[in-house]
Amino acid sequence: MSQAAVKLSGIRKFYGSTRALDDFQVSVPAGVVCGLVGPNGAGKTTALGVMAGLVRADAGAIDLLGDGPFQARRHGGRITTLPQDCLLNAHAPVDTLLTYYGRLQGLSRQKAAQETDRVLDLVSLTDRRRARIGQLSHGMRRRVALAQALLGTPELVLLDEPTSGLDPHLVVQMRNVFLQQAKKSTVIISSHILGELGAMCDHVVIMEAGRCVRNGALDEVAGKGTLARIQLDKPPALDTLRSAAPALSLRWEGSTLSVQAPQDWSPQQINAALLPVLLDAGIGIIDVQIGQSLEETYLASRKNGDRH
Amino acid sequence: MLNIGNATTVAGFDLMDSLRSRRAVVVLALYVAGTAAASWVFATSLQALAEVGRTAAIEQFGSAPEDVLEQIRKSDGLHKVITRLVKDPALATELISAHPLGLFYGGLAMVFVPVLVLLTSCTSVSAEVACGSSRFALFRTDRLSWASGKLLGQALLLAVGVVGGAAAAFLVGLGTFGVSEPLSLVLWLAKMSICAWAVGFAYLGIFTGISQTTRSVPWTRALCFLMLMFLGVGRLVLSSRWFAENVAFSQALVKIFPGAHRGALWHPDLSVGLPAIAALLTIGILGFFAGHLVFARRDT
Repeated sequence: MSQAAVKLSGIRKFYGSTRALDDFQVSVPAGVVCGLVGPNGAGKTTALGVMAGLVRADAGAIDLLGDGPFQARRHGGRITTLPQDCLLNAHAPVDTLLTYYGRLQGLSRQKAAQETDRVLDLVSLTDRRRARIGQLSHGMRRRVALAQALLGTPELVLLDEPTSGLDPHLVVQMRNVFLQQAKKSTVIISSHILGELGAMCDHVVIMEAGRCVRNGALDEVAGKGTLARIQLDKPPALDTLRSAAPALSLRWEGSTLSVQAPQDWSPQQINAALLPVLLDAGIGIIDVQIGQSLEETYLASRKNGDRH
Repeated sequence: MLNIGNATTVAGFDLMDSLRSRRAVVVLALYVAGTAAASWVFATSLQALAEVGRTAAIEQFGSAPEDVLEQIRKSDGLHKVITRLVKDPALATELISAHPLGLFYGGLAMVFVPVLVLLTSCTSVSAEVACGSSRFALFRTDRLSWASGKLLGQALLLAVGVVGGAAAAFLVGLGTFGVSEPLSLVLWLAKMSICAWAVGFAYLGIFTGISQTTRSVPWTRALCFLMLMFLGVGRLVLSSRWFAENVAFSQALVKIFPGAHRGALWHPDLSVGLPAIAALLTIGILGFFAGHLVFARRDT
């Protein structure tokens, strides 16, 4: 396991009498793309705010990049964030604002200008660089907000609902931007669009009522080594399958055979045990899905009230 | 720990952002236009007064001096009246020797800069916290550097307003009096601008302190307005004869009010004027830090 980029333990945060984070514990390894998921009010935005030093925790220990809790002197320029629902200065031209942010995080004037050009290109706003923020559409402002989080060479990037308000083609474009960024940084993304997160993340944190209920590698949390869903064109003889692979737990649901394997089984072993039997019986295999989707994992964890 | 480089970066951006915003520009333009209009009214009234004096002198003595205003300024009678008013012969001499428009601008600016600050700058921090734009800066630099930069940026904006007003007064002076000694007027306007800026800075620091304690723009405006009222009324009450005679330390206590230092700013003696400016700057900085104690510990 690589060193943790973010390590929070026992974090508590109250807004008046409302409990936003309650003994929140999480550890995110360095170099991963981590999805932070949970229902509305689960505390995702507060958790990201605590990490970025924008929200003061009432209790708990914070370690960011192995350098303690957020302090601008230590972490300025190493951690960037895209906060949710925050407005940029409406009067400033796009490039002026981004250069200003670059300067604040310690870049030289020249480097900040170069970085501004780079990130504007990433979010396809080079042609609007002299426009004032107030003159841009909502989606364009969102892209400027995203661009500021990519300035410089941050080691940890925190993105709160980064694709909300974007056109579908921009969502795809931004997903590629995040994946490029992930080669250089640890990226934590909070989003409700679980399909999108599932396609990007290799680590997941599921929150519920201010607590972390699941935290781990996506493959591990989603049971990618032990779960398989095989879509067939007709129902199989479960008894025959069970006698061929007694270690597997099998269930027929609609048109899908759900398979639960022991922890030490690999997806290849599951296929080798079941597919020949199915093919011999003349059953057509339409699709094979290894593990649960992030959405299924999330819904299952909510149903079970997990806590890991 | 204050990062001076980041504070100046924030200050430069904040000044330009204020100048880009329509509201600040409109308020500054109104201030400059108001100063020009008031200076013009003052100058033309003074000229009309001089004309009345000249006419009366011609009627009574058959002739009148070329420059009636200058004669009045040099008269012992005016010196005695002013000395009795300010209770300081040196100060009276300084005031009489000053260009009347310079004096007028000084008085006008020192009365109105707190209102100017209230209108342009009091929500500089809370407005950014309320809309969330501060969140894009506060993970890049520490809160003290950011807030100090905001204070400095607004102090520069105040300087733009005060200098703009002085320039307007100077142009009105040239147009109406046809100033014979423009350098003298410029020096007086410069001195009065510095004094007015110092008065404004004291209020700016206090208002920025208040602005750091709340995330609501209307609340900030209301609290700053109440503070302005309190500082005005409080000083008058503490300066009253009853308080001076009956309440211990009332004369020391009154020094925490910016208005208590205005009088000393007119004094020709630097040993009187400079401590007053230092006191005003200190009041502003203390007000700022009082608010920052809250800002440093709160969510943004």
